[in-house]
Amino acid sequence: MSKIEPVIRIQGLKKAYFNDDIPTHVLHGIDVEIQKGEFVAVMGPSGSGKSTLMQILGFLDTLTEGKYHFEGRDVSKLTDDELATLRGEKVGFIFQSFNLLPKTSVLENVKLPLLYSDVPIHERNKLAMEAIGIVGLGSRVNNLSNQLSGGERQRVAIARALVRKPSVIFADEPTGNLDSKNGQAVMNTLLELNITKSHTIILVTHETDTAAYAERILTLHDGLLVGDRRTDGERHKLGERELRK
Amino acid sequence: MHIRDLMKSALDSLGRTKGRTALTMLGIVIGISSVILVLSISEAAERYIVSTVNSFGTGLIIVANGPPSSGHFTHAFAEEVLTYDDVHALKQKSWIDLAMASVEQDDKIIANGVERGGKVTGTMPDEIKFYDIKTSEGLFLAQEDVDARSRVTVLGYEIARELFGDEIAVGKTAKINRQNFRVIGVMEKTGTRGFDNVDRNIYIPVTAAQDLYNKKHVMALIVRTRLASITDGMRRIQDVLRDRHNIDFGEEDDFNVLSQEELVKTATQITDVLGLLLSAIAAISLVVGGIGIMNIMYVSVTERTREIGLRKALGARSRDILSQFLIEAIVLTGVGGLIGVGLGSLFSFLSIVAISSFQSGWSFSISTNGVLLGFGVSAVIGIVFGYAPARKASRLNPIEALRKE
Repeated sequence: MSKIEPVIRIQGLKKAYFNDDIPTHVLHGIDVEIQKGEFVAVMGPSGSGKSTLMQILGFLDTLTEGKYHFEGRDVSKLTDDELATLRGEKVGFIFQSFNLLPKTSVLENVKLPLLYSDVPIHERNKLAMEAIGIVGLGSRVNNLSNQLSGGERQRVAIARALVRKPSVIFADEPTGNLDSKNGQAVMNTLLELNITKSHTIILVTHETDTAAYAERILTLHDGLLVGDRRTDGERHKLGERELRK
Repeated sequence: MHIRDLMKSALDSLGRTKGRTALTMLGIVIGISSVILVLSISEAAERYIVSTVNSFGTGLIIVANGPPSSGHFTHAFAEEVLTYDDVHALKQKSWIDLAMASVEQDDKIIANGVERGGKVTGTMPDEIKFYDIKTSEGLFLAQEDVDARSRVTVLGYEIARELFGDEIAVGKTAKINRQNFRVIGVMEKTGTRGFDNVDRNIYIPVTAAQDLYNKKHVMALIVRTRLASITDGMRRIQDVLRDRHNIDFGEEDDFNVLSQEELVKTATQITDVLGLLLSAIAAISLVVGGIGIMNIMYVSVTERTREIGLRKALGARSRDILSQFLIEAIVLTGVGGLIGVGLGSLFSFLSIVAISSFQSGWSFSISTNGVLLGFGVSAVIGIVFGYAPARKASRLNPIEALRKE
């Protein structure tokens, strides 16, 4: 029986930033595999390297040493344009501060990634409406981004991350700018996407409550992977409870 | 990125800062409309000059004082060498069709207790043939009047009305430079010719004008030959005058023989150069406008750093960002150029209307050169001044851009 290729496989990943040829090491050699459909939380204190890891995994940054295979393809050494193409086609991002275009409608914000795709113009509205429907904002498509609540804005960002049907969704502190009620609603949306649509989600957070929505928690400390544990029980309890609501 | 998406994206982002967009465009609008205005007026002036010179008739040859090296037009410092006897000698030649000499002097005329200013034009009978003008009352000057140096005058329509109202002017006496002149005719209403209102001309025999103003010489000779070739005519006139002025072989003429075509060419060259100079001045405002655009585009890149980071995170390549900001700058200057062309054409029309109100013969037409130049220059300004900010935007690191507050 052949082994299923993980969506993400990194081996000996190291990252250093250089200032006048003087290196600052951020990641010291990380090995991780993430399977398709997994919901993984990356935790760790400030400066532990969790955001850097997410940026490398999300093709926003390149690694200094090691190997990175995405869907079986070696993506360790790619040009800026190749990385941009992968970002557009394979991953979706959800940011702490939403990053919606100001004074722009929900529909236009969600359509934004499609500008950089080969999707024909006439199909873009349909795809965007589908994504908006998934996050439950179908009635607000024409509202401007600044007319929405924080929770709604983050749901627009989730729809935007979904619109190109990516292999992996990266969420960087998605509840960081939200109150607890809106934070839970956003996490429920992500959980639902993971459970019902099998989206692979990689969540960076320092909140244990938020990390509890994931089925697996990776813990970083000073650039090293110091923990990798499963949270199935907690997650399912949370998911069932919240989804039932 | 599809061109339609680029255009929409540019219009959306410019629309989000309407006030700033309008102010930025203003520089380009002023620059382009200035260029259009200057070019339209200079082209209208050229058309006016050409039509005016052509209105003198065709095949004219003008002989002016001063050597050819002094330029194509008579000027205040040219030594006066042409005499009435020169034109008289030319008239004896069988190949000469029409010839006249002229002396002009701004002066006052007094008649009927009224004093008015006009242009005393010492001329010859061929004047009415050259310019195809007619008297409405009495007769024009005859060769006998010129030969006899008679104190007779023919008045322009306007000056005759001012001096005599509806009365018959012929037979009345008018005083010019303290000398009495008998009015023998009044011209039909003609309007402007060249830069003069000929309805204010006071025609007297050229010889009488020489006496009146104590001039031995004449201002210019105007000649038309019966020859098929203008060049041949010019050469023959030159030969006659060189002979009369005792100019030796190898010496430069002390007069200047010009064809009507040369006059038109020189006049259009002057208007072209003037138009170019004024356009260059107007173009400075375009450069200033372009720098304004560059400045605003830099501000825009700085303000929208996070947006650029976001677009890159969502799959935009560097060239997508470069194109987006470049198209924004081009749209900004293009729309500015469009408004500038419209306003420039409107101002040109109003200016020509204003000029026409005191000098007839001016006509308006939209300057095609100006419109093409306006659009071309505005697009080039967009590209040139938009490129550096767009390049800066395209080279932003997505992580650093997203981190920007």
